[in-house]
Amino acid sequence: MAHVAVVWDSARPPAAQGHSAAAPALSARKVGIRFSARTILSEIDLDIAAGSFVCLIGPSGSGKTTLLRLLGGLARPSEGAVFNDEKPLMGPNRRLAFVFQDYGRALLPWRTVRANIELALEARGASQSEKTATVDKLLDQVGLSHAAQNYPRQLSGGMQQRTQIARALAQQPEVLLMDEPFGALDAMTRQSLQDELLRLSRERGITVVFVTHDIEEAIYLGDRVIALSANPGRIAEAIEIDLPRERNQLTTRENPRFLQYRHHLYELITGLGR
Amino acid sequence: MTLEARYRLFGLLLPLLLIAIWQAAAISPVFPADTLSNPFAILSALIKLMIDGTVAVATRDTLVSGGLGLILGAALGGLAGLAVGLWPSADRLTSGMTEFLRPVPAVALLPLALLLFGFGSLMEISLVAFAVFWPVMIIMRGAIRNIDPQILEVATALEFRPFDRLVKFLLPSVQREIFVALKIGIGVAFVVAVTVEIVVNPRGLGYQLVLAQVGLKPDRVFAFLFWVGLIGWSASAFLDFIEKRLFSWHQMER
Repeated sequence: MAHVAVVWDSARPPAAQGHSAAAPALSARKVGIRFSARTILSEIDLDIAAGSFVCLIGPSGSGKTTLLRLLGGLARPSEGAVFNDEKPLMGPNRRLAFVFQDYGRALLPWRTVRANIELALEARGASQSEKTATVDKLLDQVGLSHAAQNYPRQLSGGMQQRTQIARALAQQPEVLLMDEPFGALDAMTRQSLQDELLRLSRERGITVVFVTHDIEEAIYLGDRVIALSANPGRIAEAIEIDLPRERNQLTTRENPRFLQYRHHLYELITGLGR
Repeated sequence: MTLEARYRLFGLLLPLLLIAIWQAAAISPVFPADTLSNPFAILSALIKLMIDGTVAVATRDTLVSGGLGLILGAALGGLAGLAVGLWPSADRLTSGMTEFLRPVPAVALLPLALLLFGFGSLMEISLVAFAVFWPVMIIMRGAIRNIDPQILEVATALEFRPFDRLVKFLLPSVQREIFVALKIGIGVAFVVAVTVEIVVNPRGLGYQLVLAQVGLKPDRVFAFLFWVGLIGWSASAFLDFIEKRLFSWHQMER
């Protein structure tokens, strides 16, 4: 695979377009985590460049979700440390916004779409006028203005996940931490949400860490794909995705480099699962 | 006529039919059933008792004591359930005591309550509160434990303070169960209040029932029984109405 740019993690990630590579938004140093006797993650060294889109991929049991929770301060490492803007991360932080996998459980069923998004603004004590203005804008950006007064359970899965994304954006995050957010959606919805996510995160210069089990999704979205091996979870390989940053569902997926990445990652992941 | 309306009509017809049979049996010479009174006598007794204010005073006494006991017991039970639901160590610490006290019938505590508070509303309130405390505590404990950890993780990730976490996440998550606990609590409170009045406390609806029985006035006994039933029925109809209004979002579940 000499023609595929395979870069091991110890190498510095190149600057993402339009952003300085000076300080990583998030980094992990020798991070490990154990639950009782079981080691979930071990020796994780990782830099997430500010403004970049990083996908975490790996076989089940490789601790992708656990790594995401560590990076967002929802879990504490047993060894090593996580740094946010080069300061040790001691716990959850509103600047690190989560989008959880199961939207049906992450949205509050007794709150309307609008009130669910407002939750993020209530958390930092925003005024009523600020809340209304911000939520109006976000509803428009994720295409939910017509559903503002609906309850989550009245909406399709795609619309519920849009609500959760809008809530995360309402936090004005520096980093979006997304745990298989499109895994439960149908193919059409998934593709349109992928493109919306790319647009929204780039417009705002938000760093994204995106967990997925879908190899093509990882290559399509990522500036960088990090593959984890299982038992215990370790970084097997980190690959820079050298594709035009302007992604397109047809041309990007037909790009020969895309297919080479797919081939390489497929062999890598299936090998790791064994 | 819809099926629903038809059921309602028949539901009304059955008791009316029974009342008619009762009335017919009472005036026929075949059954010399003085002790069972008859619907007309009962109705006129009830009207008389309403006019002279007996029903109003007795109802007020029972509802005030039962209501205050309910509020006290539900508030303490709710807080206790919240605490042991949130902190498993608090639950382990108190579960032995809970399992020992919970099966004690409230009425068995009557002599003790009499010693402590004497006759009157205080004694009744304390027994109602004791009886209401346990079911409310146990429902709340289970409800809090069953909250989806994912929703609490949202609160954690957004760095909500403990009070906001309680008001915006925990309590709304268990609002259905709070309502169930209140419904059960109201039933328990009413039963215990009337029972205490029948057994010892010379006030309220229970006492009026005893007076009517001692005075050999079956029409009054039935009149008060009917009234007690009506109060219970109104309370649950009122709660159903509130529940439907409050939880309309819940019916939108797919």
